[in-house]
Amino acid sequence: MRQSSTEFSQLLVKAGRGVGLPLGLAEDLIDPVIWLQICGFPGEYEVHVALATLDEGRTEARFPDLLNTDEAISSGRVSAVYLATAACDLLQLDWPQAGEEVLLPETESPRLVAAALVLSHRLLRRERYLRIVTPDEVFISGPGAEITCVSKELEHRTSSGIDKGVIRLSTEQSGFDGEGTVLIDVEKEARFQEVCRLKGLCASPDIIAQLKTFSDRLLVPESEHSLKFGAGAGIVDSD
Amino acid sequence: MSVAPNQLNPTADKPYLSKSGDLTGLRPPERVCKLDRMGAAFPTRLSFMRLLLRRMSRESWQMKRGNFELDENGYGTAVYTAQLPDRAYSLIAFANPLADEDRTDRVIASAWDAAFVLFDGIPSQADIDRLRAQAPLQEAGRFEATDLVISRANRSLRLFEYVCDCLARGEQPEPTRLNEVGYLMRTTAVYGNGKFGISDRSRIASREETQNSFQAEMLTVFLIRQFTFDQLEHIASCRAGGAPAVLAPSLKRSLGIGNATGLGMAPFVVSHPELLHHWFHARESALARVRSMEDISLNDVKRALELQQRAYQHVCEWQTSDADYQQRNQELLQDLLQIRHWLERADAGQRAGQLWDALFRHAEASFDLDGQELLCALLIEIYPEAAEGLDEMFHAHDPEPLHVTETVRATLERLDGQYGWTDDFDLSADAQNAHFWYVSENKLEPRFGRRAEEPGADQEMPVAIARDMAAFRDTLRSSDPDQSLRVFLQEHPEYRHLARRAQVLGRYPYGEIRDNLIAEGCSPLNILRFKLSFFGAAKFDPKSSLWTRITMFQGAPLMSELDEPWADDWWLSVAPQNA
Repeated sequence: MRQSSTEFSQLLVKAGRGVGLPLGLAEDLIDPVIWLQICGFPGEYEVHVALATLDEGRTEARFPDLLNTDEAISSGRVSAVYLATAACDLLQLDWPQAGEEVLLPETESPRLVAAALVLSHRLLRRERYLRIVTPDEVFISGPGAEITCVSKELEHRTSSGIDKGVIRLSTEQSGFDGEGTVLIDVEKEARFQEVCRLKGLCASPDIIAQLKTFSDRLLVPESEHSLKFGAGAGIVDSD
Repeated sequence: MSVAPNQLNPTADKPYLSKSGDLTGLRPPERVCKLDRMGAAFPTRLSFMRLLLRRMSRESWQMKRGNFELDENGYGTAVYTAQLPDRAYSLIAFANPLADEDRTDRVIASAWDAAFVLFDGIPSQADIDRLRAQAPLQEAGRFEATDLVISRANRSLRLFEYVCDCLARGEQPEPTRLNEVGYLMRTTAVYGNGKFGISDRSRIASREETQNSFQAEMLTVFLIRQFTFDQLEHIASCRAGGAPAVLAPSLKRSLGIGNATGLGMAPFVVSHPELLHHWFHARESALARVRSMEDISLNDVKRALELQQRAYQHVCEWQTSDADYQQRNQELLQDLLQIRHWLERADAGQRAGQLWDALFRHAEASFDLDGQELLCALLIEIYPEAAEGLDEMFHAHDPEPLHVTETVRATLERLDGQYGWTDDFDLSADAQNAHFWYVSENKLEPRFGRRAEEPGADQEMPVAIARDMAAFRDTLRSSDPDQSLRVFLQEHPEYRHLARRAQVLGRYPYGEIRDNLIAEGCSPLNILRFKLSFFGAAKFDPKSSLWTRITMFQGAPLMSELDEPWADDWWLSVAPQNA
């Protein structure tokens, strides 16, 4: 189903608010989800998982203390929305330090977190690369604002166990090492962006409908008083 | 007097804005970003309609009517194309039968006299067939990336039939009757920017002709205006057995396109603060340029008097049923007379100095807000060059990330400077929290409710900036000043969007309405009028504090007249004396 990115962005914010996210966190969803969508990932699926699990209480609506990773990892499954925001904010403090590898807490949507991180890192224009290893992909953001995403070989993907849903994060001197199938690079991303600019996005109608049930929670039910007086014009206003 | 180059030179020692953002000589935000003054705004030469028509004329856009397949009742399809050097835009109009009892301007309507789509290019028959099914559904339809704008309109019951009947009898309608209404059809929504699946703004944002605010929407309305003339003449001709039935050009020019404007515009202004800043900034810059001028020629004074006379006549012809507006317009006429008297008494000594600044100060001291704002628009109108280069500001840039490394102390200091004006309101008082803005489940219509009397306040739209920024500041004040903003926002995530907003608006001082939008006395009409004046609308006719009718392109040249030397001289147009 074709969507304009404006329409989808507005739906994301409203769906986020509909499940109880503060507006600022709902706004933070826009860039990574749209980017995933543009680049051919099922961004709408990722955000739906994030919001549905939050709504159902299966993930925690809290910011993990990522500077105390032992505590962060041991304390249950953190919502990808909160994890992404916490991690992206920390990037501004030159975290993680050079040569340090950080293990982020288990989350239901590592891809969403990875997208948020690479986009935030891109804006910061740091000198070192940021490498984000999720169960299925490796995302790398470079000093020249380039983003690379590589699909891990099947044998390297994490399908179960303690590392499922966990992200490894590090800053490094170099970027893509040539291993794996390149899903996104500078040229591909530019091409994807141009398609979106001209034609919009594609999204699953079922997922859109489910996101809409979240956003509809913000609508106020009709009443006779509201119908008559809420808009300032008569029910039949004609000339 | 032509303006000497150094009077527009931002590096010269003149009290007007340089493009770097210096506010020297401009009316400050605390003065102009207030609801009551916004609600007294008038269109200027920086209005979006004026920008569009000047470009169309300058670039010699070729305007033509293509398919025109209407039956004897005016139902069917029509296509109008604007051909530019490098591309084309086409308005596709679908006119359908509509019973009078089904005709309403509310968002909750589901059928209209006509539905329109602005298409990117020249549509094929397949495109037209696709849109014939979708366009009449409007919000319920699905659209493609080639569909830039959708709109719908209803006929004026007062005027359409009267004019058609006159033409069918071989007569011209009375100009006074036309002036009572001002339009044959009235749009009830004009949607762009990706709504309901139509094209994202990004598709056209880099094009010169659509880079500025609402240019695609204005083109849509301009072409709809042409359609209303053509449909009317077609129906009249059919009734006259095929004889030509042509409305006189001067009468056509006196007709615009009406619009019924509701609350939807107001949240847009709040949620697009960068755009709001640019609009204010450009207008104030143009005004500052004019105020700084010296050595004013007699020709320029004569031009000012011509514009004063026209404005006076325009206000006399302004029909509104709103008692408050009627009273305001009477006072406005008095202020306009004062402008004339003042100018007629201005001597050579005054003209050698900053004459316009002196008149401006006289108005500030003596006129009501309507008079002050009309004078500002009049002054800008005298000099086409006053607006030169300012319209380049009318588009938003990519948002920047939220910076979280500063301390609570630094954040509070900055916010106290930016939002200290919220201290003017006792936000603990019921009267300052009387209203809430919300979206109804009924076709997503924006509405304005009373907090103590209606349900839904817990779903209110985030429009109460004054209240929320005050709360943000209070919480900062009670927090550890050395704490980082990052940690603060983790403890108080409800303020994250406000932190971002405040950081962005640090560069855009005109981006915030400096009033409480949920207070007892808040009139959303003031926001509507401000935005509509930037569209170029006039003849505001409020139906309540939440809803107003306006007319767009009234007095504007016709599609065939864009090359005329007077094509840009239609500010505050007046009715023709005869056909």
